[in-house]
Amino acid sequence: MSTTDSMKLLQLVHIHHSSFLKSQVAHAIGMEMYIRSKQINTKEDLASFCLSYISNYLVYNDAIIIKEIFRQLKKKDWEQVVYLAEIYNARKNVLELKKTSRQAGNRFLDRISSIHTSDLIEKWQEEIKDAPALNHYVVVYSLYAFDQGFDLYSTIQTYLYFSLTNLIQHAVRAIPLAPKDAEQVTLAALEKVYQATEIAMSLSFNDMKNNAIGLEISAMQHKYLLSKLFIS
Amino acid sequence: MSKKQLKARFQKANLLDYQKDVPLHVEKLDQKHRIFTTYMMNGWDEAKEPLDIHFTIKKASNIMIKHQPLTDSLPKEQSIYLQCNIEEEALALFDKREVMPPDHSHINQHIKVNVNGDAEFIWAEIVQLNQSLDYHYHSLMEIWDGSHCISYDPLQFSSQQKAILANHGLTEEFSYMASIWYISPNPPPFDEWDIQQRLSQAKHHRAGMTDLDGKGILIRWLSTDLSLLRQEVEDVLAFFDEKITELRKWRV
Repeated sequence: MSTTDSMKLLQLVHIHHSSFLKSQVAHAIGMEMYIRSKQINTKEDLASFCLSYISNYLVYNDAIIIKEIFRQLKKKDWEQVVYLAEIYNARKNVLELKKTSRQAGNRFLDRISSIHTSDLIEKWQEEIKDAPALNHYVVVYSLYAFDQGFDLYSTIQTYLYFSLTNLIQHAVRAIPLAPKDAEQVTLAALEKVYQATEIAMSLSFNDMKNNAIGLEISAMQHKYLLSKLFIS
Repeated sequence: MSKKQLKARFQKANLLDYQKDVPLHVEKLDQKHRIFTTYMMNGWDEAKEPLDIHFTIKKASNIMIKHQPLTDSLPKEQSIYLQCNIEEEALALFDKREVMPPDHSHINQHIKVNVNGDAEFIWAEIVQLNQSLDYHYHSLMEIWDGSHCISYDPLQFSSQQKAILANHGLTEEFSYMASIWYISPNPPPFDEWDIQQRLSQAKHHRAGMTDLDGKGILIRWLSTDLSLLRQEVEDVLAFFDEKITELRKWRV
């Protein structure tokens, strides 16, 4: 069944709901340094950061991982699924980002396994007993979405959309911005979410890339702040 | 275009075996160092053909590999594959490499390192992000400890991405990026503040350091000031050299 079915779409949207304890603090950690140094101070600055985040960072990393995990699950190649989790874990250079992503993965896995029985999720739980470092949010999300029969396009698009809105919610409080400005940034970024999903559908593992060096350095510096707005 | 190959196995004081295609070659330098045996790697920045380099650092060897100073601009097409296997107790330090892509260039490098047991690996690189030139730089740094991947870093910069890279969080308006990888299974022989105090936060210059999940550290810079960047990279490498020497001199 596809997510073009309303019921499936509702289920997919619901797993992004805050009741699932999803944490998208990870990239707010990188953003915090920009906000503190007043480099992100207006809605235009925030829009620029969102553009980097959606059209670059997420598309060429997380979206590719979701797509590749779907592909390997279709082929029933479990070893490759574990390999992708290994690469995703290694791809996150900054320890604080890694920890936050794992923390969100652990919470999400606990919650879905408490409400839903699935061989695939149980198999993953077994797998990470010896390798808890691989339990990143995007991996658990991909496994669950595949298991539920959500279509790949919607799985990627909703991931990008909710990552964007979470980031903007954090930014609104930290900068601060008026709710109207936040809505304008979100609405303007929707087209980027659409374009990013289209691009993601044409990418594969070898297209993974990193050019978010500014974000990495900001996240590295975040560790040394004496007081923090966002913590992992 | 045929590949140019270089294969070498380094042991404590000499090369165990060695095969090369001109212009690639390694040359032992007459540099006295308490623990390191130092080599110069030549030809890397001259060859127009794809390069295929395989190094093995034998058990308990301490090898420093320097890059030939760049006298001319890099070839417009460069494809480099470097595989390095570092055996137990060994250390491979690749000294600072500078990549200044010329106009109309396409540089593709893949570095795959395997550290066995308590082996250590250090790599330093400065890359110029000159947006006024037409260039494409793609570098994949893959570091493995057996079946565990420590780092997978596919950097990609090109002049075609100029507009998007200028956004917050990417390379922004900076002209240079630098990285130092120090991979070690044990906690590094220094405090992180020793490194932090060597990283300035001057205007148009940013630096940060992260722990790699207990398997080493990564230091990254974005800068518009090449001389300051070089100075900091060299300062950190000199500090590593001092600390590693203190620790390893007893093992020689």
